[in-house]
Amino acid sequence: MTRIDGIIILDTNGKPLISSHFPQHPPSYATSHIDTFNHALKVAQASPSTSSSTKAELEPILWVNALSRGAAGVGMGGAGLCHVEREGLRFLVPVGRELNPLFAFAFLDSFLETLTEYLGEVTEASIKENFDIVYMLIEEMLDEGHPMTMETNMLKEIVLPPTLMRKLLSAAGVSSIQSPASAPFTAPIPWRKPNVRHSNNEIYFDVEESLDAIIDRKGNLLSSSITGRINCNSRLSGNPDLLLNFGNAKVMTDCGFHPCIRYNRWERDHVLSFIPPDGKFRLLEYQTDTSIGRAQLPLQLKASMSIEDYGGKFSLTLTSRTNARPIEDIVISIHLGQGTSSVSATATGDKRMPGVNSGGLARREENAAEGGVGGGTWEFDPHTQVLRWRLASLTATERAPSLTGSFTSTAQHPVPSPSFDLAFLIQHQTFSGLRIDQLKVAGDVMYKPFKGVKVASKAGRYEVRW
Amino acid sequence: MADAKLFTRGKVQELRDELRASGDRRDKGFVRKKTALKKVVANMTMGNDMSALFPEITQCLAIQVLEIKKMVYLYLVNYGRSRPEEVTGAISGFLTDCHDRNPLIRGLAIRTMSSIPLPPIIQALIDPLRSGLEDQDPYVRKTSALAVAKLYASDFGKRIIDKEGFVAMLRDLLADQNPTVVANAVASLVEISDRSTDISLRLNATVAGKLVAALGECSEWGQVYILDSLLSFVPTSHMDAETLAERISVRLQHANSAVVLTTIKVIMYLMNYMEDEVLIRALERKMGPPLVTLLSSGSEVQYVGLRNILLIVQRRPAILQNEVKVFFCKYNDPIYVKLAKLEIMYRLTREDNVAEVLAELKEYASEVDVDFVRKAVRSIGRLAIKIAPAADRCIQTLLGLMGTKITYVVQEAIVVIKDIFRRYPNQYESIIGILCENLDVLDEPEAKSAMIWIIGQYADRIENSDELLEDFCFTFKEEAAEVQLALLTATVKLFIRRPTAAQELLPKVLKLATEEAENPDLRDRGFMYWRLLTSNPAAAREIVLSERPVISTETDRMDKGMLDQLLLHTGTLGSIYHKNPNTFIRTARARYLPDSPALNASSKRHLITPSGPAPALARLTISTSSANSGALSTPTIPSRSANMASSPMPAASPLPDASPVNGMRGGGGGGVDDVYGDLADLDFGAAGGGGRGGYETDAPRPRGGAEDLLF
Repeated sequence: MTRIDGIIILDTNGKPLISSHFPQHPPSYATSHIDTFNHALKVAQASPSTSSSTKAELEPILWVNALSRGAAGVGMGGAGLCHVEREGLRFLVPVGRELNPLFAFAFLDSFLETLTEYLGEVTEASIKENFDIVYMLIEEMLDEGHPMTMETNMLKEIVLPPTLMRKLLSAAGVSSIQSPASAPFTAPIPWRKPNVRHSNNEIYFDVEESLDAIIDRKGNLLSSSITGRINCNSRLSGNPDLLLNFGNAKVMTDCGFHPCIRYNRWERDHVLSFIPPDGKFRLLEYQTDTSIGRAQLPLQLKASMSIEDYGGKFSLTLTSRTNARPIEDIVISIHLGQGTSSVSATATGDKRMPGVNSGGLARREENAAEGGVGGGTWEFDPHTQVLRWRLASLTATERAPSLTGSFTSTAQHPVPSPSFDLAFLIQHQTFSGLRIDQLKVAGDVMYKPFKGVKVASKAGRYEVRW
Repeated sequence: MADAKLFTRGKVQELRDELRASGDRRDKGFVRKKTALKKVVANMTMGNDMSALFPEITQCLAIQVLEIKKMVYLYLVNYGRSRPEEVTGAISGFLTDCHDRNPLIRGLAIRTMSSIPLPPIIQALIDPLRSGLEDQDPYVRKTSALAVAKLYASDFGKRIIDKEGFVAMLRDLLADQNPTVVANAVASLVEISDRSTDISLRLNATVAGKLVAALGECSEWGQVYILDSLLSFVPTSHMDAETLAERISVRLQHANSAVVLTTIKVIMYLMNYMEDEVLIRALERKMGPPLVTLLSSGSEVQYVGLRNILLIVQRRPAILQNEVKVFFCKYNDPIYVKLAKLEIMYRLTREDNVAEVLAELKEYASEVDVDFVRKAVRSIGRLAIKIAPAADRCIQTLLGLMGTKITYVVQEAIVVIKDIFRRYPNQYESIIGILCENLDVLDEPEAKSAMIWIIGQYADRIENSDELLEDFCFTFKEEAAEVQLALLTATVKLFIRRPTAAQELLPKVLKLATEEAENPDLRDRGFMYWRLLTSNPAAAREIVLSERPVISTETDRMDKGMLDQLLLHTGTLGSIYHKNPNTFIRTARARYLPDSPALNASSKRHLITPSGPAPALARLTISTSSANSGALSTPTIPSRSANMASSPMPAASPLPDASPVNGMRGGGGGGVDDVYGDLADLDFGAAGGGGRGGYETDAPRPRGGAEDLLF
């Protein structure tokens, strides 16, 4: 049976902001779920065992008991409670029957995406301000737990987004909200509304690959995987039929497609043929099976750490192995363990002229790469006990930057986390070598759209043990 | 409280005035009406009782503004059930809307009415629902399809639906040209057949084929519905199963994880009916990568994925056999992900990859999370038991870890080493000395009793075994029951092996056990030994020192029939908790792998039917046929009898191995508190006859009783 019971949104204090109605359940149903959740959260937060400790780790599915006041239900009643956290808000989906929790999580994903689309940011304030919209959305998306209308495109025909509505309201007296476009639901393509019109026809593709890896103490690659995503922002009029060609499509071994993609065509020719939804959407996810070797790692981190009583020493050296492109936004971080009181360290690197930055792109961080030193900056956050070393960019030709230093701790045997986390970004390049070659636009369109492709690769969950 | 009530009452009056005042000619575009309604809905959702406004709200039904209609309907759904008299006043408004020319309003009216399961409303809905199911607009059709299932939930609605033949209309919708309508009709039928005692959904190959054809154009939600419904298709030939599985296997390449996992569920189900080994291998290869992909999702999806993978690899180990590295834990993984990965790592470890897994487990053992460290240590021990050629290396790793002197590591290691001793008798006695160095740190009952068992078992080879046991006995009265039992048995063993050494200790312990203990098990066992030793020392020797059944890891695998049954629940709560949902969800129903001429021999052998497991020697066949790569070939010992021989009560077997058997952990109705229970379970072959690992099949319930919906 594939339906969820409803949805509850809790604010940062665990109080319900929104709770869809649970028609088949006693009124206490929602409350007992909320109570169970808050209780579990409290227990998890109080538990001392969590080491990485920045976040309480609550199992994603909780068991909620004692709901059955029903006749036969003696201890048998209960439901699973799926939950996710977003911006401090908690989104709960109780699933009473024998249901696929993934279905609940997928629904939540979709729901949150829609909310973002409608409200911009999903925050306590924005939900409160637009609670009627949120309610109507829930009503439209869920018919007693069955997903009804999930595509944002369709929803927008039924539930007007707040901005548009406000505009209409201000033009008082205009009752044009009365009936949206006639019969929008007969749209032949479920993910695309008919009669899309844009004054500028443009389409953008974002290819992003991320590398998950565990590097052991000797620098060997223990396990790794590369996941890629192609996100698309389509602003094309009419019903364009697109054909996307890849330079080397074979590197994508395991694909997850957006429903718009014609599967048979992919099987036959390894090209993507589809009529896109309007707006932003994820076209494709893939894994590559190019098992990347130690030599192909774009960045090498030599890390050593020694623990002494009440403190320890560390030394890190970074080498870029990527010749073509600079590696950007490098962040190396580690949790130094409970009780760490202070850190002192020196970052060294190549001398570099201020402002000369090989990437030439706008930086997100202002303080990075300021001093004209290639060694980057480091910081220690005493609240989270996390040490971070940031480098704005690194090329293969410059002297390997390093960070050496020591920390002190109030604990006699400090227990830093056994691995360093690594984050970085390489623009204009994919790990797998995937390229988008060509986009052909066919269908009932008379225009020549503007096409844009952006490519980047970055570190996902990337850990280097010391 | 009183204040709040007062506040609400005042508020209600205020809102009533506002509602009455608005909506006239001056209220252009009903802006003010809308604002007033918004306030009502806001109050309603915050839990303030707004039901007193019923008459004013019902009046708004006549306003032909979609937004207002929605809020009115929201209100009616919320309070309609509790105000049966007043809601009937809204019926005429509903009926007008059911004939509106805007399909959205038609759908909305049907949807709302079906959410208020009161007889007058249902009665009024009959005609609109019938035309709704045949409406020209797919939105109305899909809404109506779901409405049928919603009505079916109430007794009155159920009767109406049976009488009016709505189910047949739903069946006709399966051939609808709009895939979303098809999907909703399927969802509705599945729900009705789950709920009903006399209707059950059965698909034949043609309909199943048509549904699969609709898959391609469905939204992901519709795909999940349709895929789920395919479990109602019982293949009658190998061909049927093979064709269908091949056709749906393209769904493995879907971005939505729910679609992927549901596809895997259906393919796993169909495999039971396949014959073509080549195809089965090919499908297995196809299923691996999408499962691995689940691991690059958010931690929630990862968790669900991992719990399911654990089931899947037990049934079809080939699927991920070379992927153990994918499951290596990252330090920053949430703990629930780590624990789930650990269990899968254990399952996927074989002789040729045991070295890297061991190195990895050793890493984990130095982490901070106590629970995780313990499970890592325990896994090392389990690997020693599972993979004989690696036992030496595992022991070395364990001893290395004991060198850290971290108390919980040492204790956990001792517990597993005891199991290793049982698995490989007389091979590793040389390390007993090292173990004995750690006696002081033992403070957990399980570790203590493990150590005591070792001392008792090797009483004749440990020089000072009598002194060690004596030390333990100082605190006899304060110890947990399992430690007391262990001490009692160990002392008896010592006495039999070295009578002089235990001359003083034995009477003391027997006295403590029989006279001062409150635990009846302990007293009983004490008396039993006492009598045995006094009446027939030779028999005592034979019993107490009898050869122990060698433990195996074969038995910590789930029964295959049980697995097949659980796999029908792949991706559901049941697969998270590894229990049949009907054992913990009242409304859920047990699923059984349906028998059919096409069911292949191995699945048939383990088939669990509503009336229980397949007859014959199902269990015995498992243990001999499913030879575990190089591990033990000792068949699952019918250890019940072995235990019986040595002790009258299974619970008080002379081995202090009262360590939990599957059944004691996860069993029971709501006992899902320890989801990882099975990780800790080393089942000492005791599951031989009992309880299929603690998973009870529910009371027999025939499938498809009176009326089968044969499509």
